[in-house]
Amino acid sequence: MDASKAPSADGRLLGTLTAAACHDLMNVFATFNQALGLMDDCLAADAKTTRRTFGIKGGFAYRERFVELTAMLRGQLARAVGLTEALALAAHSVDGQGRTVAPPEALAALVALAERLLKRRKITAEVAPSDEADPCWPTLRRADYLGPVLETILACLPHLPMGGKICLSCRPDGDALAVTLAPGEGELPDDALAAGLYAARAAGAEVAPGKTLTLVFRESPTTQPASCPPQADGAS
Amino acid sequence: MKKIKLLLVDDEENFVNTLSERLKMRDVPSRVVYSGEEALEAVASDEPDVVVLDLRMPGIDGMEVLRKVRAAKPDVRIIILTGHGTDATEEEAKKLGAFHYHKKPVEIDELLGTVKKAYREKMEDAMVAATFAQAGAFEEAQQILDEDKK
Repeated sequence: MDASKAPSADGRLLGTLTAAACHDLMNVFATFNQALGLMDDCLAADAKTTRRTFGIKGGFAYRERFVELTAMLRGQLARAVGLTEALALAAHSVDGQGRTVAPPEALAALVALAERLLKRRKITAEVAPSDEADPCWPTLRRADYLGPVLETILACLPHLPMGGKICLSCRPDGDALAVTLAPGEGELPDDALAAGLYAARAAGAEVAPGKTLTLVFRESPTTQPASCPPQADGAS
Repeated sequence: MKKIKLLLVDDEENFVNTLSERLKMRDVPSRVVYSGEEALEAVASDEPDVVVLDLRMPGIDGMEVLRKVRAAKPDVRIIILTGHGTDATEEEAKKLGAFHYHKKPVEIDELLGTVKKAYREKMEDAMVAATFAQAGAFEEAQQILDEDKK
């Protein structure tokens, strides 16, 4: 990635503000989590009282419904926490703060954030775990590869069959990171391949030749040399 | 058995009050304060065994509280509980002697487990130091107490 790809001051500011809001949302979710937990505790205490007094005391009539509702809210809360964590990670990719993550986790966050866009064509996406046990990832800024990968996915989307699946995988390739976008089964349709190829190149990624889209991202001359471990993304 | 003297510090009042209520239902009462300044006063007056501490607070922030409490009362175990976790703050907190670093939201049983572990560790150190002191080995007792400062 060349220096012109460095995030602008506006981009960094937006990243910082988004990440700060995400961190505060975690405080909100933590309060929801404790309040839901307290409701569960109260329901459990009621059940215990009912048992201990043979039904003379306690016995909240809607207990089972409340248990179902708190479980549902917990599910939604977990979803909100997941999305917020993904958003914080993406936001920190432009302001150079936050925690260090390996590319598969960063790609999983990207997929989580893009879920709503993929749903328009009922497409699901998954990120394959790394083949190697402890890969030595190149030192790249997350923003350098997440942006082009997203643009490539979005360019392919209209050309993929409705209800299909996208599989993302990544691996270190010398001092580069190779990210492969493939369909769940078979090969990418030719027009999806062409649209993806064009979008990836326009976004500044190298594309390895082949029947799948493999985007190659190299360390910029200004980033620190790769270190292994930890699995650095260079931004933090 | 002696009860854990637990101090909860967080400027998110709804969060920390609910957390305190849930801990009380689990037989672990706690004192709640909402700022770094109040936390320092509470540590000085109450001498808690364990402190659960938020990092980002108006006024004196959690990292400063951690630094001051570790300097003044090194035997107090401090657990960080924050919604603003980064690698850098986690590393700094651990370097300053935090017992554990939790990110919000955390499940109550996980947090309670950490609180009990911190308390157990504090009591074990105190007991070993007392045993050495009873035997007249004051230097060894002092060494154990000094270990807490590291």
